[in-house]
Amino acid sequence: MTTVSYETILADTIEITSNLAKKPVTEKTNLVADLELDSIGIAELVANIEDRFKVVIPMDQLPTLRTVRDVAQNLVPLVNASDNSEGI
Amino acid sequence: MADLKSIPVALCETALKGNPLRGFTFVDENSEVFSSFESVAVTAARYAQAMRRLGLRRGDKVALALPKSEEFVCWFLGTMHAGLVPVPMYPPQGLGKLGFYLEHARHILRASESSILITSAQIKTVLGSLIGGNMRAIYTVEELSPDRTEAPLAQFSEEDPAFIQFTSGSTSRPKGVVVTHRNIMANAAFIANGLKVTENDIGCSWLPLYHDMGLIGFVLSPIRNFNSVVLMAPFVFLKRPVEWLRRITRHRATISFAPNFGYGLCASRGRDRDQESLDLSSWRIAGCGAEPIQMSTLERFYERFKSVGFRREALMPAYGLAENTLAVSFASIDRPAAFTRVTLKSLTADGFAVEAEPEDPSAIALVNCGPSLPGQELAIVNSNGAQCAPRQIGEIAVRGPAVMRGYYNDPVATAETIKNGWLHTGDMGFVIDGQLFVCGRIKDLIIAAGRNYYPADIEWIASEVPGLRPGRVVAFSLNMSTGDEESERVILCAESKIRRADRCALPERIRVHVLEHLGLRVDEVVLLERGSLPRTSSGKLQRIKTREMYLKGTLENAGQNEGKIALLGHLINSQWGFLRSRTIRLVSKRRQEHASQSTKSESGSAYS
Repeated sequence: MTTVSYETILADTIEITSNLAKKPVTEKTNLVADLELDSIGIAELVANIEDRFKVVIPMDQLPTLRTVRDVAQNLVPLVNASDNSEGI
Repeated sequence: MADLKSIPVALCETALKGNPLRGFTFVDENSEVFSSFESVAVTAARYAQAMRRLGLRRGDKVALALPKSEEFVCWFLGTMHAGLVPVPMYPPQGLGKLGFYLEHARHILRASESSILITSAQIKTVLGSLIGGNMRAIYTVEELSPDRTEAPLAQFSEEDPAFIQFTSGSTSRPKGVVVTHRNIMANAAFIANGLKVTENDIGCSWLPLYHDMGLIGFVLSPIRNFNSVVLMAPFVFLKRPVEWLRRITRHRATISFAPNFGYGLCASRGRDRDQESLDLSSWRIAGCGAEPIQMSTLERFYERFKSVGFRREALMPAYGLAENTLAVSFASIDRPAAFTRVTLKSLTADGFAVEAEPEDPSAIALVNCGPSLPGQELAIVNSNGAQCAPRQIGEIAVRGPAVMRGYYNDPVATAETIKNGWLHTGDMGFVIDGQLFVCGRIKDLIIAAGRNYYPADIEWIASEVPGLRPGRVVAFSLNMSTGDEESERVILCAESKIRRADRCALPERIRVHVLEHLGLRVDEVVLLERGSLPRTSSGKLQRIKTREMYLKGTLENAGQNEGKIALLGHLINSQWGFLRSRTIRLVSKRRQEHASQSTKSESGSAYS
């Protein structure tokens, strides 16, 4: 089993977010305040992230996610849990 | 079937049929769980018993904020089974916005006089502070620990409240629509007849269950009509709209409804490779309602999915509202969606819908929402309550067995809305040969991405941004057409109290603040000097007047406004923006004329 690092996940998250929002994105970027993603935009972002990492982000985590860093940090345990079975 | 008096009785009858293949399929992320009607009925009776143990009395209100469809359906039915009155609440959604959610939840709990709230552990931590007044306790599903004991079915009168639905959207002051057992059974029968429902029909829905279209259409009606239903979580749809179509394909669903934006999202986000797995040939009724219907969106959806068996005749515009339980009218179910093209001038200047010449470039396409469902009456009335002539624009009014009993604990609002048994919907329309055409709202709701926003909420939230003059903020929307696409554009006009030079960042700050708190994107912020906004006797009139001044370009512009010139170009091309502002003005003008017979208001002169 290989552990996927926070840095790797962050880099992918930044790329996915930037592609969707069509704006430059950093670790500190706030999804709503900086990228102006509305509820449909957030849903599409979650879907793109889930597709890339082959995970499901539980809905009850959403209210705690504000920045790209929050998203990446939440993904670390999810990705590494699913990595046991299929890897990415 | 006709003598069923309530949904709990219907559920017991349905369960007694003992067909293990009929029931609900709950779709959540990667899982599908099937529950037969029999199993749902047993679970509901156990939940009813768990609630009875709390010492609740018949008719007590029970608020439900349950994000999982399966839990929501069983607790909702269990509450009814126990003779209690469920009050559905939406769970917290999206990122942030908790402050506004709390405010909203507090209002609903108080206004409904709910005795308890049943929710998830996660939401309980958010709402824990709301105990007080009538609210005795907040329970998680686990804490109520239902066992295998089933409560006997409570006795009902047809006129008892079956549940209280708080009107949709994000407003801080929604009103509670009291729906009786008779209302539900009548509307479910209308739906069954109108859609020619048979027991073999299968429903599929991603609509929120705390809303009339999801709850009445895809939980309660199917119990009465013995139809299996596939219920998806709304967020699953928002993430991957094509999942909706996949479930229709997999379950060979025949009936599904969505607001206009749902069809638009599928058409625009559907990818070619998704099409391979789809077969929409089973889908006989693709209902569209709950927000203004754009013929162009329905056309795009059809063009996109006709190759996978989607039939043009399946698209069925509909009109309805929570105050009439749900459905008012359905368009023809075996013909393609129809529309009429009317001249802009006739609508805006004369208040009459005159058919446009085929080559008239300014003509407006309005969708035919069909005749009133049999068993109730529909009329178009002017502000004096007199019936309008065919093609004359007025307020849509409905009378029949599905009209709500009233707004809970709000006799004033009830008396304003229901007069001589006629429900005044607040929506404007006209009738041609008995067919209803809906052309706008009197209520100044802003609908964006299928959610309703009340301008007062947006104004209130925006007023919190430092640098604005409190109470001097006006929000309204314009329906814009850009090419084939039509969209709602949200405009916010605000008087600023800081120096011009310091205002650059203000529009952005306002937009972000509203987005964070309401999840709504404000398309344009117009900053104004003190005293620029019109002063009127009510917020509604102020919005109408501000919108009119905005369209004419007579609002004095105080700061840097974004895209002003581009917007003027849009406006010139926007028939809908003009139509809506003018038609709303027309109705309000008539109302004012009526009102000014007794009182001469300052605002009345603004339109003369």
